[in-house]
Amino acid sequence: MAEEQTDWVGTRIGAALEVVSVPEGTADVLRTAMRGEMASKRLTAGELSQLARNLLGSLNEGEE
Amino acid sequence: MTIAEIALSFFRGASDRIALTPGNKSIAVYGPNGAGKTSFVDGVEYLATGGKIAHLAHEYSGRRLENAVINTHAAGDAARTVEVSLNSGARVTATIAANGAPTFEGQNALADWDCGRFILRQDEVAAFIQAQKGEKYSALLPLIGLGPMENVATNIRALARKVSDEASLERKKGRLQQLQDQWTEAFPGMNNTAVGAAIKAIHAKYLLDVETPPDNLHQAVDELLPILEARIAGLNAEHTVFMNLKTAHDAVLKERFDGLTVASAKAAGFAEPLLNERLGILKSAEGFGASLEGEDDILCPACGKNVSPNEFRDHVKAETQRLEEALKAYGDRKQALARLATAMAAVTGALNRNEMTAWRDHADQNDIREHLDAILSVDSDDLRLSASQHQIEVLGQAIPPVVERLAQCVQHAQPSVHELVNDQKMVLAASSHPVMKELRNVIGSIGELLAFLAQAEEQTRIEIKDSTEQVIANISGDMQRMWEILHPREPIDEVRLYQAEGVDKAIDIALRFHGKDQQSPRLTLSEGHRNSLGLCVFLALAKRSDQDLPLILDDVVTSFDLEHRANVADLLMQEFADTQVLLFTHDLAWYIELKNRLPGTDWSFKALASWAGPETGIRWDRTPQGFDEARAHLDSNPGTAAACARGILDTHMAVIAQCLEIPVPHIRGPQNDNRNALDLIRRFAGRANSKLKVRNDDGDYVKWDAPIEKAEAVRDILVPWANPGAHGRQVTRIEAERLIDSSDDFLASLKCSTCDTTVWHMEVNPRQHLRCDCGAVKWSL
Repeated sequence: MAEEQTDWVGTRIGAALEVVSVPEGTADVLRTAMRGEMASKRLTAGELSQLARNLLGSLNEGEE
Repeated sequence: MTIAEIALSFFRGASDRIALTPGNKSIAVYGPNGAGKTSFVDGVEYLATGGKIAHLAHEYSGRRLENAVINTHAAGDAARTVEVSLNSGARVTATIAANGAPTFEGQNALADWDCGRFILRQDEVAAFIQAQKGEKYSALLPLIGLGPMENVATNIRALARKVSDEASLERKKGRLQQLQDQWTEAFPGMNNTAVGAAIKAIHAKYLLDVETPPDNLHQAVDELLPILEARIAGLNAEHTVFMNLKTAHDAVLKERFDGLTVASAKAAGFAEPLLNERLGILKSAEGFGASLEGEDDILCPACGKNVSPNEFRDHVKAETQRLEEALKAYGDRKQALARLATAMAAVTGALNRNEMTAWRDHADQNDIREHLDAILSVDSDDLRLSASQHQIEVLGQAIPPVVERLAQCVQHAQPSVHELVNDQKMVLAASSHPVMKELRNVIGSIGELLAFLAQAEEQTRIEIKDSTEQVIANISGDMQRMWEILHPREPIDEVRLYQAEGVDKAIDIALRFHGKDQQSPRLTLSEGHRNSLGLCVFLALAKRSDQDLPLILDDVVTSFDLEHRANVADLLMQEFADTQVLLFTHDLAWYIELKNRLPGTDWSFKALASWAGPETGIRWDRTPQGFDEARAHLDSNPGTAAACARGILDTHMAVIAQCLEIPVPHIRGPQNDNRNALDLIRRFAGRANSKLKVRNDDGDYVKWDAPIEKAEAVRDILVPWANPGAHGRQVTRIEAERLIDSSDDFLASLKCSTCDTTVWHMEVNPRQHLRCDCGAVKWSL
């Protein structure tokens, strides 16, 4: 995505975090994906599964 | 990027190589119907899309469009090529094999050319206006990154479902429910303090040597479990049987089965009518798509009737609510089934033990043997997933007598066994406390992650909506400005795009019609106005494009009347002065008007001759005035050729008279706007005697005789030969040819031989003269 379009991701994830609190690592995983692979195409089932596992893994890291 | 040349060989209507060469200018191309104008447009689309042309793709055109793109009479060894040269120096070519397989060279130069954004064809003019709200939204998506945002929103929604699957969320919730049920049975109505006290009391009962039971629940449970297991292992055979019977009895199998029956009945209450109604909705939905075309009311999939959009929304809301209730009922049934499976596991676990063999085989159980076998053969794990109607019926018959027998048996148990079973149940339930806590935490974390994803999706949707608002505000501004140029001072105004309220991914066009707001142009606008609005939308989108592409307009003003058509030239000059425009038209009058209004510094003009056949292919008209069209009829019908020549002359003379400000008296009625060439040529010849001058060798301006003499020559033959029907005689080929040549000669003579400026294209100088570029010819206004 173009530089000016990445700003909205940070702003919108910030707004989401004000409503629901998740570990910073979890927000980072989603932020990174939104700026990259999630924006470029519709993800395959396999790619979604991997991303879901990353998010769930980041929840555990947050607890540790 | 601008197109320097489009060249075709045996492609579509072309035979031998024919080239359209705009150079670095815009170009207007006139051609009668079928002359080959669209072949040039098709050539550009073919190269930009890698061999596809949308309007030619159908069942008969062949997989590679070979039946449509190759000249039908091309010889096997003919060079079938399409070439586009850009002013940047890039050149793209396609060489097409006889079977239609193209070979491209330099195609990267057109890789980013999205045909939908720079080519507008006649039949597509109103496409955006007629499109559904969702289609309009999709058309705008590619603008300023809305496409990636839409990807993000869609991916987040799918991701949330994957998170639930990957975390086995439903299974975890089921397990927690099972443990909570066991806890509630063991400690009915008791709070945590009371549970702690109960466990302490049990601890004190079985661990007599410990003076003070531990306050920590987990420690007390950990110390109690091995003691209780030892006690149970030490029971005699009779007590062991009672212990197992009591365990089976306390599993409340009957209550669990009744719970399933109630939940099943409630779910079934939704099932049959639900299926029937869903079927009806599917049938209604078949007509739904078709009914949306050009209709205001919507055929509601919920009720099957035509309703207003507001009613439709209410119906959908009610349907959603009903489906949610049905889903809850099915969820409750699932939970009841899980509880029955848990109870069944406890019963089969207790009664299938080896030490229970004697009890099971005893003659006392003969009257319930069949029911007992039915229960003991149940796989509780399978039951947890699903239960067939037959299985439920069998269990419904088996459970009551078996449960009654268990109740009878446990009455004979020793009180100490009752106590031991109760104590074990409480300790086991208490031992699950850390597991329940862990499960609650995990489920809570996953729930928060899902809520976060839902928020992220909602925020993305808000971003899309805001960005869309900005985009459509910009486009609307352009649309309004362009509409004003095409329709100055008309009572249809304030045309704009808007996002439909309460609907995602929907954009439509609003306007004000005689002071009244309208939510769709389809409510009140005529076809001509809709097409005009469609042109504005296309041009507004093109203007907002970040790609510097030419505009290709293929016969887009066919439904415009004279006045609005004339305004298109203003629109192009005001809004697209810096854009290369390739404009094709079959309308000679408009073409001539464009020739006179669009600046020659930025525009060139070319006319195509009538298409004679596939062997001849596409040809340029050899005369700048367009008389080859009339010549094409000479052999077949000289009368038509003569009439055609007069039509061309009529059109030219109307423009010339206006430019040269030749006064004409007013004629009452529509004839005032339809003066023919004869009248105007007479007036031109009369006025030119004093107004038209040419500079002689001495530098003096003198009367310019040549054009006047040629005008008089045309005048003399125009009446008898141009309209044979009015004079009751046939026109011969020789007469028609002479009329065409004379007309062509006359128009060609109105041009400065030094600088090539035509008289009616000359600039107005401050002394109220029209003067050619070199100053050799002038016309006094």
